[in-house]
Amino acid sequence: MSKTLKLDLDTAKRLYPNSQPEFKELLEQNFGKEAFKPIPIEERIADYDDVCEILGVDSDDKTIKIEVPGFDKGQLDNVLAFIKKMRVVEAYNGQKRCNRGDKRWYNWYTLKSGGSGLVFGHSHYYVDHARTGSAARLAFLSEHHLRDARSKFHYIDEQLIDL
Amino acid sequence: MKTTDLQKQLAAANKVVETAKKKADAIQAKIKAAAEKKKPKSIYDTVTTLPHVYKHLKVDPKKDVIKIDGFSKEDIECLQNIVSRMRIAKVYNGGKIGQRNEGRWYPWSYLKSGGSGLVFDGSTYDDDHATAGSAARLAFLSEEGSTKYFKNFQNVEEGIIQL
Repeated sequence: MSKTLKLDLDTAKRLYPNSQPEFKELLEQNFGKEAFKPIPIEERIADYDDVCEILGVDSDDKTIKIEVPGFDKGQLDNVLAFIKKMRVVEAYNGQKRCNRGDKRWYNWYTLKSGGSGLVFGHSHYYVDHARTGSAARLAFLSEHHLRDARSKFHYIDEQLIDL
Repeated sequence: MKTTDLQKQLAAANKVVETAKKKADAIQAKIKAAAEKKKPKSIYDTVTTLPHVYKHLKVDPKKDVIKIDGFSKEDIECLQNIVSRMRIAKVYNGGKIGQRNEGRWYPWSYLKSGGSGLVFDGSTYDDDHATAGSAARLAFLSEEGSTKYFKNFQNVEEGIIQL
């Protein structure tokens, strides 16, 4: 008895990473090697919705429950910005957390005098020192990812710094 | 009078002077201690634990609710510590929020190689620059505030940095 197995590209892509080498070869022969090339994270992320999709979480702020007695709206918005930043960092770092000895990259901004908002100053990293910005859950493991995230999520840093 | 008699009298007189000096020093120390007692204690010396912070702000931390889809236990802990630092900053800054062009102080730490925990490496400030650590609601408005924050609440800082 023989049966024919039909696979669409989406299913093949899902199966590919955990497949045995022989099956991988079979998939590549049928769909082409290009189809299974990993897509760089910066190409997969355009906005916060993409970040949440990668992490498998709902991007609606209403799904986040924060009740902190004594906090005003400004403080709650600040906490929300930290949550978003942590999600962005997690998506870019491939859900890998920073450890001691890793280069932990973070942004340093200049404040426009007399105005509002932040102007990018420079990227910075720490290995053997730490401050809040370079905390394990707030720092990026690559400068390239930090730069890409800054171009797309500058507004989150503005909400978080709130100056 | 013989020289030896005079010498004896001088020695006795010196002893009296020395005893009087010691007494005067002791009285001086007592006066100083009494003045210190009367002096109003600084907020950094009276608010040294999280229960002190809660009492000062009249909040019940048991009413804190932080539920975030996709966050691990460590992520939640990091956020809870950020909330704690916001509360501490509020108390140490006398309820004032950091503004542009104002020195916003924050601690930075050294990571012991091969160990865990943070070693205080000093307080620094941003006025025309900003990072997450010098955010309006996380930073301290004085160097003493930042340094005392680390001294009194090192566990909070370690809970944020998580390295």
